[in-house]
Amino acid sequence: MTDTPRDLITVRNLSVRVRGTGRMLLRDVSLDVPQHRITGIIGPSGAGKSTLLKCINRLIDLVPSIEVTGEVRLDGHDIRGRDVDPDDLRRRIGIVFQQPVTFHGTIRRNVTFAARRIGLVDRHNEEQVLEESLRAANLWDEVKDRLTHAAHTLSVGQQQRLAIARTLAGSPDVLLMDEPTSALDAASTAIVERTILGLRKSRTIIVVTHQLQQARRLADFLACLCSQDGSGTLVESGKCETVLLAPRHAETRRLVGIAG
Amino acid sequence: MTGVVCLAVAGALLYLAAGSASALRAEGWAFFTTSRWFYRDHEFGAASMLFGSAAVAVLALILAVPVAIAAAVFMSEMCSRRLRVAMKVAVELLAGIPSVVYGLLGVLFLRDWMSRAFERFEVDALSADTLLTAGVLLAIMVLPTIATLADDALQGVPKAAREASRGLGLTRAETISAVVVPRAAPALIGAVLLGFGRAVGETIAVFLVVGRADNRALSLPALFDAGQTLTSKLGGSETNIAVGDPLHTSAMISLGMVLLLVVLAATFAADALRRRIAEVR
Amino acid sequence: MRRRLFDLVFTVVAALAAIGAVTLFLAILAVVVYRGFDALSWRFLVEDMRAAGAEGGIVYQIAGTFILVLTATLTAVPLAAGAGIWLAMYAKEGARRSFESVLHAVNGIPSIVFGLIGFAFFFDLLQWKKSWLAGGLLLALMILPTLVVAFVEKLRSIPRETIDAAFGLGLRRGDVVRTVLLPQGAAGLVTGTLLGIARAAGETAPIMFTAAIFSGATVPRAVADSPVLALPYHIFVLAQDSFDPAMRSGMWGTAAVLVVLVTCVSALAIPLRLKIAQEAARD
Repeated sequence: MTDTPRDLITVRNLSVRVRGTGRMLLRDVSLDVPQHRITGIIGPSGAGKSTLLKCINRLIDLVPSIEVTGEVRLDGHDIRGRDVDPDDLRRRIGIVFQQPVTFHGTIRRNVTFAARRIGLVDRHNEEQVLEESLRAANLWDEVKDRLTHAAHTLSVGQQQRLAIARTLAGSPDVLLMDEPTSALDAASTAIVERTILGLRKSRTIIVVTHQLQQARRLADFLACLCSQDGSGTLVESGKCETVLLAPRHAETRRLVGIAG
Repeated sequence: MTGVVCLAVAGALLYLAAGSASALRAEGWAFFTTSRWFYRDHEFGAASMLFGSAAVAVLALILAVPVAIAAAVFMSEMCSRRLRVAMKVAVELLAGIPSVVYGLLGVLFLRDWMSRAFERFEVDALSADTLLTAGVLLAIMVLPTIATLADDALQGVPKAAREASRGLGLTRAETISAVVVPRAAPALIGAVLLGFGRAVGETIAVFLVVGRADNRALSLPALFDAGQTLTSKLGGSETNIAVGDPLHTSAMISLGMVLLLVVLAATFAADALRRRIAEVR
Repeated sequence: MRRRLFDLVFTVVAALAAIGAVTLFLAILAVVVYRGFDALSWRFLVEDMRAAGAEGGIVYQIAGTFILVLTATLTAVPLAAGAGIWLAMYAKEGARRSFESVLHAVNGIPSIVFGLIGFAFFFDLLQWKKSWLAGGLLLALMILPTLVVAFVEKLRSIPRETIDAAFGLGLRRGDVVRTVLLPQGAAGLVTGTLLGIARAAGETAPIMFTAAIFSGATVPRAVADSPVLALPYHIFVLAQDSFDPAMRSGMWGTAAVLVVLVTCVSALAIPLRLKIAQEAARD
């Protein structure tokens, strides 16, 4: 990395609390996410990695009885600022989940309908956006002849790429990916990883993964989230090789498998 | 034990089928297409009753379905869990109120309101016991049934779909209208069909406010007149009168048969739709 | 901007509809209880009817409804229990599916059709006159699907492991039924029974040809020719003469009793149903 990328997203003292039980899902997490790079988030299950992602695009707001404190800034602006429209924020920060969600309808509709609703796409540029998104998701060649087929006829791997294409159609600057290949077979995983790497230069990507090898393949930077006293805390972050090969924190060491 | 039940059901169906045979043979298709019903002269044309049942049920659906689905959307998508439970309880208790009580309310309140409405809008009606009145009363009766089934339908859509849609930047209303409702569509249609079945099959409340007049015309203005439905006819005195007159009895049974077939068709269609979603998932 | 407006309008419309539905419920309850309250008194509940309903009480209507519902319940519960166990434990896939379709179909049959079938069976075939037993049996058949469905729903929520464990201990099918299915499934049967009772108490059409008369009956002494009075039928007859103001008090009072009865019984079933639904959803 010859250039030092600026931090597009900064997380400061983020804590997430469940109102009823008082349990802290995340405790005092601070993280910097550099622009145009892939930041990986690793850690054991239950450590709050998905929660962290949802805080960044404010999907956490949809969960009832949750209290969020701390600050998240996108490009310098507080995402909870008075003038921020959460729906617009979620368009600018795309998210892909572990289980691909396919909407009712054709492949074409799945990719473009949200962007159409929002107004980014109209009849004039729909074909173009459709093709660009599907190409970027490495799915165009496989479906270009059957855009009018029902989306649920695709294989799971293809559906996940469809989900990526759908997110890309909204032109997000940031992509959040929550275990994007956990539900896929090895071949589909490889394609999706290739897709993610291909998107790196033009977007900022955060990938949550529990597979360390995947982190090594994809991430430039790495953050390790571990569960301490039942809450997720950030134990270590830094350049990917550093974290994986020479981790400083005991938890990271345990995760990575280094003795001592 | 279950065999006994099945036998009972089968026996009943056979009885209905056999019983209607003679009247149907005597009248032929005219049974369904003519509207002259004079049992003393052995003229049995059920068309006005078919029209009546259809009109009343359709009217009820037109009034009830939008409100029911809107209420279901609120219950399922827009309120806290506690509020939803409270509302669902209220709606289900509403559905459990006996039809005779609805009939009573219709007779003591709705009639007067319809009467006054007829005056306001200068509708020329002899009394307020009309097909329209029955339709309105049925709408109120059928509303909770459709609402609660629609709520179940919407709840059947997985949470992940809503999350993905909001994650794309769509608003809650857009998520509901473009993602949740289409996904729940077959079950929603099933809910409407079951509401239709209930509306067509309702006897007591309709009997009290529909006017029970035979041989009416099959036209739109007839909605403002007294009318007759399959159920109001069957619930009336002719059922007892028919005893002893085999042809008349058979005609009455045919009415029952038609009613049963229509309701069963709606029920099975609704089931088929609900099973289809389970398979697609 | 337009999207925000759509979101707002959408929410408001949905909220209005929901408020409307709940208001409807409360209004109906309120009207019935309020109007009926005047007519209600201890004497109303324990006296006999006089002057064709314009005066007196409804004690025999209450008794009649009680007899009909009791008969229906006593008939339906064992049948439903048997059917439920059969469906859960013994039935093969094909038989199960067809029985469930039959059950669902029966549930959808309009009550007037039940009345007609009862009329044909008991009057025509068996040559009975109006009889409480006829009404009770007919009601039993009508509420049977409700009971079976509630029972089976609860049985299905019993974790597979519990049943497997029982078999693993060497118990035979009959024993497993006795020791696992029945005790754990009982809540479902109770729920279904409560719902069935509420339904049976309020139905008019099935009993109006087979069991109920308006006046003249007290407590049944025989089987084949002993009609009863009943709350819903009483209201039905009175409602047809609704122009007579003297009847109002009787109508409202009876309606209040019936509505309170039905609503309370249904309400009893609610906490059980919620629990069952929660358990089912957890799997």
